[in-house]
Amino acid sequence: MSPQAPPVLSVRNLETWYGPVSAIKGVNIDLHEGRIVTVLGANGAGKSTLLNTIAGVINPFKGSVEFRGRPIQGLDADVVALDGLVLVPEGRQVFPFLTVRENLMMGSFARATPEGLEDDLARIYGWFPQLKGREQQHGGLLSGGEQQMLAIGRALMARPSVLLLDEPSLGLSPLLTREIFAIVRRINAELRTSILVVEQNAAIALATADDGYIMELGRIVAAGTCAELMVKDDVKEFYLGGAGGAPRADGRKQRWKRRKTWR
Amino acid sequence: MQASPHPPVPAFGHDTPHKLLRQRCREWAAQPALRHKRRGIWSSVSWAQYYERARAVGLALDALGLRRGDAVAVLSENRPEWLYADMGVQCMGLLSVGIYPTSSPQQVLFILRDARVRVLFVENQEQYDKALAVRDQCPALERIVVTDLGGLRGLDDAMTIDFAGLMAQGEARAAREADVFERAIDAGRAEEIAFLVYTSGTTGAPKGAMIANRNLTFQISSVRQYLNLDPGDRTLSFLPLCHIAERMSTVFNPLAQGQIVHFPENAGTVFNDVREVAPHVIFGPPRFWEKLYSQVTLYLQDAIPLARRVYAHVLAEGSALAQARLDGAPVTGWRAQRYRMLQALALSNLRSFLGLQNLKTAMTGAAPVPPDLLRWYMAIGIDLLEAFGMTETCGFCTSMPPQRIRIGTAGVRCEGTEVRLGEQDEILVRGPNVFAGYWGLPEKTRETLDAEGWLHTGDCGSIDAEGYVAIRDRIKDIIITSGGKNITPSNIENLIKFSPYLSDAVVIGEGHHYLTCLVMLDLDNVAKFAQDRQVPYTDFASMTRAPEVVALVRQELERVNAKLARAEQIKDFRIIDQLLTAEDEELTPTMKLKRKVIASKYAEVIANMYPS
Repeated sequence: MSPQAPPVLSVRNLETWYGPVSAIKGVNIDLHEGRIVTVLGANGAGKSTLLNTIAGVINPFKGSVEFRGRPIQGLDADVVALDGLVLVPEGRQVFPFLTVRENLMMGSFARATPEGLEDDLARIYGWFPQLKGREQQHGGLLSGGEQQMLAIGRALMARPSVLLLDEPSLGLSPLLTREIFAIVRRINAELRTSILVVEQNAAIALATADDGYIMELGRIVAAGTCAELMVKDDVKEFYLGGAGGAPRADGRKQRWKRRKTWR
Repeated sequence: MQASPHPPVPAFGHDTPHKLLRQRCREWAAQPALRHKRRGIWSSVSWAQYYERARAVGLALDALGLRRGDAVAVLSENRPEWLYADMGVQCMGLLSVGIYPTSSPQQVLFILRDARVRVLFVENQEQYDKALAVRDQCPALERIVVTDLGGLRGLDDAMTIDFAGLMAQGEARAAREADVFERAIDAGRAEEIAFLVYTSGTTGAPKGAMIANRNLTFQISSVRQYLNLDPGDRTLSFLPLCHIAERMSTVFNPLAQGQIVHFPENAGTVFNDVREVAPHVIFGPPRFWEKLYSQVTLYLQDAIPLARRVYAHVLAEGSALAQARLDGAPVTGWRAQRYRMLQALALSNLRSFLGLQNLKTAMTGAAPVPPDLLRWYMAIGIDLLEAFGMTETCGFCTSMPPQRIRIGTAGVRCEGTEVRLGEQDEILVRGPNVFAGYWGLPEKTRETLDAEGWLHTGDCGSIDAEGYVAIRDRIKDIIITSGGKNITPSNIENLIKFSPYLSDAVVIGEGHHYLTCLVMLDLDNVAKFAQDRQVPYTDFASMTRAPEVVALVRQELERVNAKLARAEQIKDFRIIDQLLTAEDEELTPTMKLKRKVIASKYAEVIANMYPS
C-alpha cells in the first residue's frame, strides 16, 4: 500500500454495537487517494455495519473515522454525504415511483448550483447506456442490474470524492457483476474517485481492487494488496473456492477444512 | 528387558486391564460408560454396549487374519469409536497405536512404518486423505477403516472398509463364536505389551514407548491415591487420547471407579462442554487452567465495580486462608465459617460459570505449573493438585496428597514405587509403573532404563525429607550462560506464561551473557486488550508489531523480572508474529512451543537480540 500521502479515509479502532451485540470490534482500514479498497467477508462478518458506520447511518460506540484528516464519526449521514463521502447502500434502494432521471437528480439534490448537471448526467448515461433508454420509466420497473447502475449513478451525481459501495454484486448474474465492476474500475480511472467496496464475491473484488482487507466476526484478519491476498492459501481456499490445493484423486469434494492462519 | 525387582500388581484381582474391563462390563452392564454429543444431544453408551462394540471390532480384526502382537493404529479425535477400536484391539492381544489427529502425513507415515501397522482406523475424510497420501510406502498396511463417511459415501477401494461394516461383520461373528474373544482376553498376560505411545519427539524421530499390561494394572490399582470418585461421576475427555494422561483417565481409570466419560463435540467447544458436563474431575495441562483463569480476570475487568470489589475481597481472604493451610496451620472457627459463606455467595456463580461446581478433584501436570496459578485456584476454593508423570511411567509417578499440599513440588511418589536422585540430580523411578522400553530401539531403551530397572526421567530436581519431589527442569534444557550461570528456563517460562496475554515463551541464553526470550501471544486476550485500548491493528502480524502490544509484553516481562535474580532476568524479547496451530512443527500437539525448533527457526531473530 502507498504510505506516502495520508489516506483520504482512515478508520481507527471502530467498534459498533447493536444493543448488547458487538458487530464490529476495533476495525482499522485506510483508503488512499484514487485507490479501490475492498473489504471481504462472509455473511455477518460486519461489512455492511462498517460501511454504514463510516457513512454516518449508524453511530459508532468507539473509535474514529477521519475523512481528509477531519473526524466524521457520529455525524449524520446527510452531513457526511455533503462532504463528498457517498454510500451506495446494499440492495440498491432506488426510489421506485420516481423516474430514472428523477432518481438521478435526487443524487444532485444537495448541490448548490445546477452548474455542470447536464454534463454529469450525460457522463452517467455514457457509462450506463441502458439507463438512457429508460430515462422516463419508474425506478421500480428496472431490472436488478439496472437498479444497481441507477444507484451508483445517483451516488455519482453528488460528485463524491469517496464512494462507498455495499455489495454491488448482490443478486446479479455473473455477467452483470463483471459489467458493474468494469464500470467501477472506469469511474475510478476517469474521475479519480477513491472507492471502498464491500463484497462477498471475492474473486471479482480482488481482481478489481488495489488493496484488500478480510473481515471475520467483526475483526480484520488479513490485510494487504490484492495481489498479496490472492496468493495466501487461506484466501484461496476459503474465499476463492479452491478446495485445498491439488484436486483430490478420487474426484470427491473435500469435506474438511484447514485451520485458518492467514499466512 | 530388564528384570525389575517389583512384581506385577493386579488390578482388582486381574492381571490384565482387559479382564477387568470384562468384569466391569458385566457388573455395570446397564450403567452408562460413555457419552457423546450427536446433533447437539448427549447420548449414552452403556458398559454392556461398550463391551459388545469392542468385541465386534476385535472379532472382525481376528477374521481379517490379525494375530497377537500385530499392530493396529487409530488416527482420530477423541470419540467413542476410538475406545471401541482401542479396547477391541487390546483384548485380542493386538498392539494398539494411537496417532495424533493433528499429525502431518509424514508423521503418520513414520508411525505406520515403524510399528508395522496392519490395520489403520481413521476418523474421517481429513484423516483418510493422510492415509491415502502415504499408504503406498507402507507395505505392512492392509486395511483402512473409516469411521465417518462424510464425503466418502459409496467409496469403492479394495483396502478400505467403513467402521459400521466392520462392526456388522464382528457382530455376526459374535453371534456364532463370541468365545474367540473371551479366549483372547483369558490368554492375556501381565508382561504383554498393550499399546505403543509415540513421544512427540521434540528432538529427532518419535519413539514408541511400550506400555505393558502390568503398567496398566498397577496404575488402575493406585488411582485411589489421587482420585476420589464414585461410579456415575462425570469426566470430560478433551486432551488427545494418544497422550498417556488422557489415555489413562479416559480408558483405564473408569475401570477402577466407574466414572462416565464424556466426549466434547470438537476441539473448539471444550470450554462450553466443560460448562455443560460440569465434570467431577478434570485433569488439564497448566495451559487449560491458565485459560480459565485469564477468562475470569478479563471478564472481571468489565464487571461492575461492586462485583470487582467483592471478588478482590474474597480473593484476598481466600489467599490468606490458603496460605495458612499451606503453612500447616489451617484457620478454623469464625473466620473460616465467614469465608465459606462468602464463597457460597460470591464464588458459586463464578464456579458454575466455569463449569467447575461439581469438581471433586482438579489435577494438572504434563508441563511445569506456575505456582501463582495454584495459589489462585486455592484462593477460590479449588485445590488444584500437581502431579508428575511421563509416558515412560504410564501416567503419574508422583502426585500431590490432597490433605498435605506443598506448592512448588509435584507431590509424593506412588505407593509401591521408588524414586531417588541420580547423577546431576536426575530423578530416577523404579516400580511396576515403569514401561517396557522403546519399540525396536534397544539402544535407546538401555539409555533410559538401566540394568537395575531404574528409569532415567531426564528431569532434574530434588526430594525433601518427607518425600516431596520438586522438578526443576529437563536436564538438557538447562542453560549455561557465558558467565557460567546455570539457569533453569522452565522456571522463568512458567512465570511468563502466567500472564493472561502470553500463552507460551522460550527462554534463550545458552553461551550468551544475558537471557532473552521469544513469546507467543494469547490471541483472544491480546485482541481484547487492543480493542479496549484502541490499539490499531489489522492482521495478526501487525498486532504483534503494534507499539502498545510490544509495551504490554515488556511490562509483563518486567513484572516477571522483578521476581527473578539478576542473572535470570530477561533482557530482550521478540514476539512470534505468526499464528501457530497444533499442525505447525513449532508446537507440540499439546500446544507447547518446542525449544529446539523455535531456536533453529528463529535463529536470525535470536541473533538479533545479541548484537556483537
